[in-house]
Amino acid sequence: MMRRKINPNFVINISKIKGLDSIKWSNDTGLKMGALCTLRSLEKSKEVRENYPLLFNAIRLIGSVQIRNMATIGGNLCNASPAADTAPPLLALDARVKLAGKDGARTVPLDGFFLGPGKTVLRQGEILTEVDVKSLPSHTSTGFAKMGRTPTDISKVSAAVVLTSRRNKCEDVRIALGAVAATPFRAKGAEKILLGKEISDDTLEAASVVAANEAKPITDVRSTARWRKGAIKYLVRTLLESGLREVSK
Amino acid sequence: MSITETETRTTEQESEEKFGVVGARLARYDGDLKVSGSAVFGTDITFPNMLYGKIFRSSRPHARIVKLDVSRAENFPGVRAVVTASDFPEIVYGFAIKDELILPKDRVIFYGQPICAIAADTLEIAEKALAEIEVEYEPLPNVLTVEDALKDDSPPLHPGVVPAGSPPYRSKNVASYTKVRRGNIEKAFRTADFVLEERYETPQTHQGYLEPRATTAEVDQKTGRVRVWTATQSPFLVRNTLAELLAIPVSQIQIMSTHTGGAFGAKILCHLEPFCVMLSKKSGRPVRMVLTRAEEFIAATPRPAVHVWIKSAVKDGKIVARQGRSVVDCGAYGSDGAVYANIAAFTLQGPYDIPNMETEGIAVYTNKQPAGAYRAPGTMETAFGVESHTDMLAVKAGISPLDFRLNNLMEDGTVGPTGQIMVSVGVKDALRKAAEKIGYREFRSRRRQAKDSHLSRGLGIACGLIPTVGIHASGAYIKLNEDGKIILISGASDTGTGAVTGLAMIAAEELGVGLKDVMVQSGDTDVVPWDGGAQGSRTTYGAGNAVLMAARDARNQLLTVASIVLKTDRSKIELRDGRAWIAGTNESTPFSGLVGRAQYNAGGPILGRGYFAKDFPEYNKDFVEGYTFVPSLHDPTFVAHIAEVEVNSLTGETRLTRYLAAVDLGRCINPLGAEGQIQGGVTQGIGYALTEEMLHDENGFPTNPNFTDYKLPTIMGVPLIEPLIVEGHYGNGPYGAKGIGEVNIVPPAPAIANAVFDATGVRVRKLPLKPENVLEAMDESAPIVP
Amino acid sequence: MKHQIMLEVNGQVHQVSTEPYRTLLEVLRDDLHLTGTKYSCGEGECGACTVLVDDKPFMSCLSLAVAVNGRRIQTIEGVAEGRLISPLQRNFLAKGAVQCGYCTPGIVMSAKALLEENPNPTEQEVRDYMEGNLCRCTGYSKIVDAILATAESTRSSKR
Repeated sequence: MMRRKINPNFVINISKIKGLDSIKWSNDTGLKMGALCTLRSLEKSKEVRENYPLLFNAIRLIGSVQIRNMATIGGNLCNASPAADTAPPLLALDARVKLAGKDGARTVPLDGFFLGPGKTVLRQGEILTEVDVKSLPSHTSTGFAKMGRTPTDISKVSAAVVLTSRRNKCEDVRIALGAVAATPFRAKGAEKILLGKEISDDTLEAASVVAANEAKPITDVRSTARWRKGAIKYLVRTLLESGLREVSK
Repeated sequence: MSITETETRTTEQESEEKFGVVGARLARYDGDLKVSGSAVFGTDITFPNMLYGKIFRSSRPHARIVKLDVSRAENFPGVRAVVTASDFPEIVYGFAIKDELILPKDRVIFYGQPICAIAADTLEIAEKALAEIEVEYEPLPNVLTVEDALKDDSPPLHPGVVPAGSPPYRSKNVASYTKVRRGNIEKAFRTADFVLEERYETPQTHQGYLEPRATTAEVDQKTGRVRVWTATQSPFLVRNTLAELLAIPVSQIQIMSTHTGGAFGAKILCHLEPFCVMLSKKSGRPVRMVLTRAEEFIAATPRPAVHVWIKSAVKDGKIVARQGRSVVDCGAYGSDGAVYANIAAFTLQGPYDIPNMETEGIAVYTNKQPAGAYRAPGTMETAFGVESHTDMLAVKAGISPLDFRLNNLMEDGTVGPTGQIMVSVGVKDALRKAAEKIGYREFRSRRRQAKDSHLSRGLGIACGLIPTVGIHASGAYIKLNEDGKIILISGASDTGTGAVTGLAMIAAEELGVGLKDVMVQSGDTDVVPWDGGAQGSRTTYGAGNAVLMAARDARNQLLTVASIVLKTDRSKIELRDGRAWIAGTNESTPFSGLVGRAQYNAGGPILGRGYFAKDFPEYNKDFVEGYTFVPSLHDPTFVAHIAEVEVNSLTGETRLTRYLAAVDLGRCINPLGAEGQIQGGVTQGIGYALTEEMLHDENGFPTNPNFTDYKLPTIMGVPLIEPLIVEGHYGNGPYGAKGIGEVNIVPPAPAIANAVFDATGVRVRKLPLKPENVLEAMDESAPIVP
Repeated sequence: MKHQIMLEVNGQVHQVSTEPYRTLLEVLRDDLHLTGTKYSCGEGECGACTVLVDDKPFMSCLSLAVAVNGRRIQTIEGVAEGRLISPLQRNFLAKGAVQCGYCTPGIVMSAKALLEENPNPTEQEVRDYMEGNLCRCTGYSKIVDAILATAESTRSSKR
């Protein structure tokens, strides 16, 4: 609207809707974030920082303090940029999102919410109201990393990992990638390499190679497809290694 | 003392002078206005009946204008004037090459080129009216690369235009040519220990000033007098160029500089002024035009891309011959490009003693936006090649980059590019001090031990010099008010540099008052004396000398009146704290009394006059041919910088972990201001090194005309820049000062590239050193073990 | 079609009539003639337009004026008290953190909010917080100095 490109007859300011900006956490029910939670309020939330550090680390490198005071988690997800930084952590956390419209409310997994750049499963007349994430089991480590031209740039590549392992055996793993496909997505092929298996140098290497192959990066004004492939492999490998170190402590 | 405050080091030749004001860390004199948001910038000028101007721009890089119909725009409600080429005198202009038209009649030659302009009651109406303009193009072949431009048969952008310097090239798209030749390179190449030949490439980059160009103009309907408020570095040059373009007398025009939100070379000549003036003339109302950020990228005046070819012969660790060529991709107009090429021919020597030289600088036309001045034009781009190459020479010679430089750097008495004898050369001093402060030798011996992770650290040196441009004159007046306050009337400009604060400090020093007792009047061409503007690092040097002379003249007059009032010989009188004292006594009289007495019956109102005008240092005309805007170098300032990086060899990411900038600046007028210029210049250089490039697609359309994708250095991305001020090698500026406005932007790119090489053994020959380019260079080369 | 909104700016209440697509930046500069807040990029990348909305730094070039209807806004003009500039502003001058001055209003607003949220920041915390404000002139080192010096002098004046 401010660029005079669209001129709608009506605009509804949903920031006036009460109750959509709360952060609730308990060890049993996990984290519930209202869609209108500003990124800054999530960044400053002890619950987010301590229990979901991968999400905290993603949020703190988005844009700037000014942008985070204005942007919301609902906005970041519904804008559906392939490079949305809250998406890989939330995908790796198996987030579910609540949608509400005149036909009622529904809950859908975030995995599947994104359909393409700028496109989601939101129907006409629906808004996103809440983002839910479960508690993490013990022996679980998490990590997020992004690479850009400057520290808080739109990501050239990003990755999030949630790894549950005991006695060097991978009990569960989620790997989510951003900015390297039409939508943020779970690298399930890479996950399969690790799931239920002994973690070794070879399996970590294989998983990171598969993750890079699942990525379909493009060459654009920010980077090249070739560099992005290599960077994804590096990020996934690095996150898995540090996750493993953390969980073994 | 905070870590960014300088350790000022002086040589044994330190003058015994004690300064009262000069040398102190003082806040800028106009700071209160800026810090409270009340400084009026070009974007802030408003008049009640003002119109808003917009430019209609070409959407083709090269095309014939088949049809241009502005009638629907002219009749659009709220539009008060439209100007096209026919509204302007038919003048082809350009200070070096006459190839520029204010508005085109038949052909557009770059994407974004102004075709016509509109003034309307509101900005919104002006923007809507742009869409009402009908234009039809017939595309012409694009010349988009240096290679295309150099082809013998490349379609000429400016048929019939006489290039600068008689370029000995078949292609009609070579806009200018400068050649330096000294000694006998053939013999030196034959008898050398080795010869090394390399190519380097730098991109088109934008000055990135935060205030977009902003101009307001009003033509008095009765008198025809033209008044312009504009953000500029040089109001007199704007005035004179405007007079030429509008074919009106210079005295018909009054330019008033607003505070300017950064310029770095881009705001020297006219840009929006002719449009605003003509629209105001036609509409009868003041017209303001402010560019959007997108327009700034699409059609401003950036630093051109430069391709450097460099070849050296080394014998016994000394560079004995240098051959080279810098090709400047100057875009659609050639005058600024010609200056880049001229200076590049000199920069190919670098700050080194090289007895045999054959170097060329040429500018070529392409269908891109025309180049403009940008901090250290002609020096910075070629220096990337020269300083990277110097490290490669050191490697091949088996000598450390530090020692190789110490063996080859200029000293007093070295012969400069065109035969001048270099004086006040402090570069070795600066380099030694920098190397000692950063622990260069210890770092290199320590670092060999840790080498197996994918992260490695390196140090890189880069030295440089930049001429203080002395070709423009300066005038200055000093008068005193009846309350004893000093008024400095100077044509100098301060677009943020802090140099005018330095001028006020010089006046304060000479008159024995504090900085707070000096008020500065500048920026109005009707009132202040001529000054060449804030460019070429010249303000402290040129305007400073004028102010020094004016202050001494005023001081003289004060002493004359004081001797009458105090009834003592002037030789026994001191000026201190705003009073005249009989030396060694408590007897004094305030300036206010002296002013009153002078104006009553003792010599008339006190008015100190000063000026500066200086020809180029003596050089040998046989050593240079072609276009010479600058045939030799006024007081060069030298720099020696050292960068420390950490490189991730798996991703190509380079992290700058430490940066030390040593500057041989003669005398430091204000360390606080000097440090700011050093840190700012270095940071701009870091952007050039790591992230900045203006990108175009294969059709010549810009693809990153915004701050989202043209990445300036940010506060998280830049380490503390450590300035190291080296005094003692005095130049000809006031108290021996040399200019520092530009020189610190020169070393960062090669220093960082040299550090990357030191860390990884990989030489990246293309800027920026973004991970994609570094990784590509890693893949292509086998690392050379340093 | 214009909307009537109410903005409290620097303690003064203003009734503003504006189309819904106009930004807070445009309203502040063009309607309220508070030209201290600057336009530089129009896309929230440079921070020259930073103002405080309910004490929080916002990019005013990305805020629709109608969306901040009723909120409490502070601009650079509201930082000094009459002729007395704040200690933060004084430190910006004393530490040489101002050159051309175009980024300065936005930077002062962000820095003010930073010190109110975190009176004892480390250098890294200062740099992290100020990332949304570009400066082309200073190279940032002295801006960091000025902010840390203000924090330090506020701490020592409280002892």
